[in-house]
Amino acid sequence: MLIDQIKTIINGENVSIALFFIGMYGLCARRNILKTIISMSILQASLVLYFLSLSFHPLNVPPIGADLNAYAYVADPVPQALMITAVVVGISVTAVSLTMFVSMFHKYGTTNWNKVKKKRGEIE
Amino acid sequence: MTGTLYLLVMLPIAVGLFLYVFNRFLSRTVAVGIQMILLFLSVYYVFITQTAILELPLLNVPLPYGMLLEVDDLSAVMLFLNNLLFLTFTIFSYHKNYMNRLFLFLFLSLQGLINALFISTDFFNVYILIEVATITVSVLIMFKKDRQSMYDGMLYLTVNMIGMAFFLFGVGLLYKSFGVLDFKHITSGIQNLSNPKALNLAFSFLLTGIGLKAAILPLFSWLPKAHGTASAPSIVSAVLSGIFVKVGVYMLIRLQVMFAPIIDMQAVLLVLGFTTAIAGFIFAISQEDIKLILAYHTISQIGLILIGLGGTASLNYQGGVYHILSHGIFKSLFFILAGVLSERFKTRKITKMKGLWQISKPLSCILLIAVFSITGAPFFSGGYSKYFISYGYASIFFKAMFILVNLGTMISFIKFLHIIFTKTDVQTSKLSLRKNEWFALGILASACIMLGLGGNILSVWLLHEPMNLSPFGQLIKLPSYVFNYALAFTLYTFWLKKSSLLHRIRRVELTFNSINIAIVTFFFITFTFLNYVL
Repeated sequence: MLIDQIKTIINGENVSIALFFIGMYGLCARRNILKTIISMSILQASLVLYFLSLSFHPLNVPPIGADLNAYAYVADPVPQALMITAVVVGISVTAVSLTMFVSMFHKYGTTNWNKVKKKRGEIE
Repeated sequence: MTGTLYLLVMLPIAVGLFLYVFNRFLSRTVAVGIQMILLFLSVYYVFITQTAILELPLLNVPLPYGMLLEVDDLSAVMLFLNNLLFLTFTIFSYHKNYMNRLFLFLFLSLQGLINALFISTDFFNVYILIEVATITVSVLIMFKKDRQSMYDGMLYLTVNMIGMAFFLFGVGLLYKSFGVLDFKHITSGIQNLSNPKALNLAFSFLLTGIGLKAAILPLFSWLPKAHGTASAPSIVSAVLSGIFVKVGVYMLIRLQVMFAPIIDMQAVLLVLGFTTAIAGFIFAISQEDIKLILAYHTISQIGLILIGLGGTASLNYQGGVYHILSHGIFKSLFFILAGVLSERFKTRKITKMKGLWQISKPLSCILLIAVFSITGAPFFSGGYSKYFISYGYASIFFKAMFILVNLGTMISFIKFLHIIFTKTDVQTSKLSLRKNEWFALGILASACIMLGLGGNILSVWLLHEPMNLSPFGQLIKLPSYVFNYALAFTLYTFWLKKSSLLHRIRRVELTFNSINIAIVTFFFITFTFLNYVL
């Protein structure tokens, strides 16, 4: 009984919302820049999961082939197309921030946001 | 002629790429040339949108599943501002060292992306364009690669990406409700919605993302770092403050219109506007770095624009849009001047800059024009738009608030007057600028005066709505302006200058984690407010 209820609660949308706020927790509570970048990837992953599960139905089939009218339940292709783009954007953002992080680490020698902020210093 | 909308986006990006690959061909001249074409096109759009809305379908599929580029009144004005600013910036930095092929490529791409943002009518396109523009901007911020720039660029990139994640989540929730992504069908879907609370979650996500872009009250901590960074050339800061932050405001207007049937944002915008304006000038007064003063002051002016947009009278809204224009122009002028001044005095500390009147009289006049515009003097652009933003408020409370915001603006720019009128004992050589630099400064300065003196004509031409404040009507405002400035001057010299308050405020600076906590808090407060208060 209870397990059934729990099973209905655990669906893609709810999990993705939980994941989103886990990512936000990482951003709010961790000072390590690398963990910040990881948390941003978690945000991206939760978004992808959300978009893919928002029109999910167990009987969905992919809309491929000549005779689309034969299918009763067809998966919505738009979120999937959007998410391919979003994944690409997410990867490039991660790549850019990792590159920045590497050169920042060479310059300041620390991975801590607050120490970096202190070392950045005031105007000359 | 709708086909020219492709040019607006593709021309700068394609030319930028071409110049990057084939380095040799007169790249700067070509850049100026295409800027002129784009400015001509956007003037044409302003002209044509008087009677019709331009639409260009991108696919053969009809709208709910296709894509559309559209120019209406608002986007035409924003396009005009964008292309005008980019033209003047390119002319200004024609001979500068940093205008190499990489810079030109990034700069022109940014122009194309911002143009695309103003004409796209699809949430996902907006998301992608903002993401790409953010990456471009973060590279531009770190362009000179000095010690401070790494932190600024990294902070800018991460915070904005987090904001856009909120935005995309909101888009997902909207897609779940309506199954479409374009503005028109979502608008009509919202009008037919039975349960007005159904979109609260989506709206809070969207508002958090867009609010971060527009730098409203708790979400502005990234802005001064990005706009006031030492490592970016002054024209990059000018682009950021002049037009790029307005992308957020523009999207906020679109959201407001879209959600108007179920969520009444007027009062919220008004409250957010006042608090943002006040917080902005408090920080601006306490700074000593010339670029940081301007960056914090952008926040204050965004607050003023929001007040205009949240006003009940339709003239308030027009005043807000007009202020987007005038702020874009005078803030760009300020940032360019700040670049010139800090190059000349070899420092960014405003207290160490002295004797501009002795060094260069024309430059002092241009700086004076900028100061008069931003403080809302009669006959200048700021005064014209501020009059309409504060139009029709009868209660004492609102009047006092407007006077407070005005006083704050005036106090923060007293330091600029000091640059001009404080005398130096050191014998200094005259300041000489190149002809193209004078020309660019001249365009912006004359635009400031034209938007003020010729406001009645230009408002009809640009906004397609009449606004009525004749030069004589502005003249009547002169005594109260002078009185306010005298009051501001007294307050500054006899109280603020001596108190240790400024020193303490200057130290206030959120860490990365606090910025994120602010974002999450803003999101939860918005959500709670929408669910339980409204």
